[in-house]
Amino acid sequence: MNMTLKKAFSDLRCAPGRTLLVILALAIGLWGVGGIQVSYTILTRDLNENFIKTRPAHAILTSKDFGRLDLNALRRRPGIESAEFRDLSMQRIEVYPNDWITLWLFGVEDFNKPEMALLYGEKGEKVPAPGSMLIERDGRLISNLDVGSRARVRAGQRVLEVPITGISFDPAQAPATQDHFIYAYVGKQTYADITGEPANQRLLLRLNNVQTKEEVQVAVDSLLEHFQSRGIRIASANIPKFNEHPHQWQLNTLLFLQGSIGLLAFLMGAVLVSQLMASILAKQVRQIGILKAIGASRRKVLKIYLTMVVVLGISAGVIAIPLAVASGYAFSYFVAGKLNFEILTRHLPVHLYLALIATSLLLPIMLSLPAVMKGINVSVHDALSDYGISPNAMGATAEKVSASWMSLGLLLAVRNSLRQKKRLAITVATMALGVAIFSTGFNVRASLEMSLEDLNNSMKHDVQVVLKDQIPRDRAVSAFSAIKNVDRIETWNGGRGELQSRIVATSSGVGIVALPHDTDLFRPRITAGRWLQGSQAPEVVMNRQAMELYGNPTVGSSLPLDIGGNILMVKLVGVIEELEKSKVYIDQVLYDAFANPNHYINSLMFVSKEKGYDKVMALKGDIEAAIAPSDLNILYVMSQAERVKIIYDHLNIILTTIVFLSLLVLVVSALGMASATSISILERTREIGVLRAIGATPAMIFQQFVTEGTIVSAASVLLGLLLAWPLSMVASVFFGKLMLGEGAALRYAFSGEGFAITLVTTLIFGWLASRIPARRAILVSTRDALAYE
Amino acid sequence: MIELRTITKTYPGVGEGFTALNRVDLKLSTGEYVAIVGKSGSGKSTLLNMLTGIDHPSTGTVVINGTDVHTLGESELASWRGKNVGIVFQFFQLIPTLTVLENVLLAMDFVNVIPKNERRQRAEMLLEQVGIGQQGHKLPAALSGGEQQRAAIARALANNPPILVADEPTGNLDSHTTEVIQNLFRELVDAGKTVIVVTHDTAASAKFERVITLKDGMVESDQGRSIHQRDAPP
Repeated sequence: MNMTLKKAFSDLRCAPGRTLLVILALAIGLWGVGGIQVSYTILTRDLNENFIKTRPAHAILTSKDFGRLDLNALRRRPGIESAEFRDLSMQRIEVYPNDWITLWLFGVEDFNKPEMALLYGEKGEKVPAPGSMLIERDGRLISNLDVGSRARVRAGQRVLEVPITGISFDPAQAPATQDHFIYAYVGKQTYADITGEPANQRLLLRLNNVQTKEEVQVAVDSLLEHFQSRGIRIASANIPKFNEHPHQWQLNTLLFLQGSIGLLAFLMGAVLVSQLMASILAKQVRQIGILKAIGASRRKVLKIYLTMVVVLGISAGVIAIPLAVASGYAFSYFVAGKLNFEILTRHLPVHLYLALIATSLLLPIMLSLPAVMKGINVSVHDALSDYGISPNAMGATAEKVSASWMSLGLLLAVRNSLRQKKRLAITVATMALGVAIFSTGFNVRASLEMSLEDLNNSMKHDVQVVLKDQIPRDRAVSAFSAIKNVDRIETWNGGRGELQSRIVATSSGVGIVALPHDTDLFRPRITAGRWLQGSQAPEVVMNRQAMELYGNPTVGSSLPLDIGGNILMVKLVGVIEELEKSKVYIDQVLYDAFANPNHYINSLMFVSKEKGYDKVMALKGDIEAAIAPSDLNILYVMSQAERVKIIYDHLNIILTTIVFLSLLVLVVSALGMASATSISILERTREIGVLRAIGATPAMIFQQFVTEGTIVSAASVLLGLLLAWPLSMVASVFFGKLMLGEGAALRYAFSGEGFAITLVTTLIFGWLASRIPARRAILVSTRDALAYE
Repeated sequence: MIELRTITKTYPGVGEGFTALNRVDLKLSTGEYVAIVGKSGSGKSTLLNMLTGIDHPSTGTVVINGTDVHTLGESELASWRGKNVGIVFQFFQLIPTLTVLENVLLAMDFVNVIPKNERRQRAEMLLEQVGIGQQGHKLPAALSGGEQQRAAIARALANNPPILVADEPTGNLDSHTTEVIQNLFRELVDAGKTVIVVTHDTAASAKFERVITLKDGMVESDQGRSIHQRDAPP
């Protein structure tokens, strides 16, 4: 071994505790950053890869005239990559006894040779026999359905028993667990038999040479003209976001969170490591003087210390990289499970490993370089007279910090905390940032929960029944006349647009809700303008999501509302906030006058006499029982509690991740504090010896350091909580927009629970961060402490 | 009475290790003014560490005023030391973040033998006694080497211990300050304290009543021993 390496190793060996601390700090920093890099790489590739591999449709057209379409001729048209009928009908399926949810039933043209929107067989049959169906795998998590079950499907007035013969994986669909749908796949004939609807009315298209939604739009427009010339009237033309999974927004939010918090953890880790390296090198200044005195050039000295740093980096890398890969994969599998996609990345790209290795080597070099250079540039004389911490370090501060009420121990703790002001500032700032982010995580969570609460409060009905068809009010209501626990039933006409129904929606898929303007069942939070009034002129209120689709018009402006090809000019009078799909609200009287002369309705809003979850769920059961013998064609029956739960489920993974990653930041910052305390103890080892020599017991020394830690921790908590306030306000707005769309900023909410958890967690972390190194301090013998240099 | 009985101290190392003290027997009486001299590596500081309980002997016992020092636990030992032995270090070793007065008060806080309401007055009196009564409010860094050492002596006397142990207390001081410190020690001896000073300065040994010379971990000579000690069995 050459002398450079030998010196590096012997320096590291002579203070094994400190060396281990640096390696541990480096390893934890690298692990955090590396784990995030790994999961970021996997998730960025895999959700999209899962989706793209299904060969998703670029456009979805519906028409009752497709019987006249020559599909083979269409497939030969320039610009068409593939075309296939994939019918879709909304039915209902019983997931548990007497618990019915929406079923998306797909009629698949050819299970053996699908050209797009591919399915993957997971269990049982891959091609359903006539009269049977496959269900999407995620549906099993919200039902008791599986291969071998006989699912009860309600189609119109009929309840059919359909055997489930296979489980498919359809990565292109939103997870059933979040949207509370069951996706099922049947052959064409079975589709027609179950739904009673003719097949081949929904056409999927994939186009050649398109890269954007706009290019798809141009191609579809040209195709629509072609269809029109052939007498095929297109009812709807839906162009999904180009090559983007329906829940890509969730992943984007997660990736953003990962990226930003990962970067923060990295910076905190960097601060931590740089403190440790600076401390090690400060101890080596005298040795640098000696090396120079015996003839070492600056280059030689640099080489010796960089070798030492590289040895530390390699050691940390050996620990951290396997952990980073393992935890990165674990997090990716967790997200994949939540979003129902497969992890396809079996081997991480070589460049990622190279980046991790480079980080483990370069990070400590970069961080220690300033301290190394400072040490190298010091003159031989100054280096030889360096005895570490300057006795003048306190300056005049000590005399200023004095209060008669302070015990001498507390005074000593306060002054010692102030001894290394730069380090104290970095430690407090890092810890405060950790506290602020941790607290912000809870506040953002509270903001979301408040929005959900707003939603809950805005909808005063208890159970909603939505019909697939618009029918006369009396016919709809009469089916439920025998139910006891009903105070009243208000009837609306409306839908949730693209999500559930096209019955009442604009041509662009914005849901229209026609309701009595003076209803007391809907009291949303109005963010601009006012709610509907019984005015003569057509007026509407929009939610923020609809505002976005309409290009954020100003309140008071006139808009064309395209309802089934007929244009109604309406005045926008207000904007409301709700966690929903895009919706436009209009007075029922005005809507009926324009588009609903028979005053048909499709929504029944039930208000129960007796409230409470059990009573409402019992009412829902009674409603289901009343529906069973009726001729009502039901789209869904949903209690308000379930509705809130569905939205919460969509956001829960993000809420969980926010808190988890915030905790990670707090842990890293606590580690920073622990390392700062450790450095402080190392530097003051000799002082510890002196204190013991003049009569301080180990318990007193221990208490001294714990007090110091508590002071730093308390200062950090205070600063962090103050910082959390503006940070939470910004974050609520930011995450609201990120998760729910441009118009959906969340209101700031203060989480009392989060405050308490932050306070307790941080103080515990701070206490531990000082307690562990303090315990080490008292284990050093008085003789060794006094002999410490 | 301080009694070292067949003290051996061996530090682990290559082979059989390094023996810093080899079967040392010593008796020191109350009120003695003793110098422990010897070259570097002779075992002076190790002997001092045995006397103060800072280090444990490999074999043998140290009995001070009836207490077998090395049978005490860490906490008991710290308390015992605070009450019975005042230590003065070569490099003063004052706590840099506390003022001189607070350094003296800290030692009293640790040991808790001086009533709280008397501590400040006593600390001021001690500083006055060592000649730095006006410097109490200053941080150690603001004091000269001699003043810092006097402050260290005041701290060592904080709990009125019967024994004062000093390790090369004048090693870093000029000749004038050295004389001041030596006079201070003399006054303490006159006041009834046992003062034990480790020094490599053989020329200064004339000032002491008794000079114990160590060589290779053994007592080479013991000059000026009291009659009582001479009569004691070896």
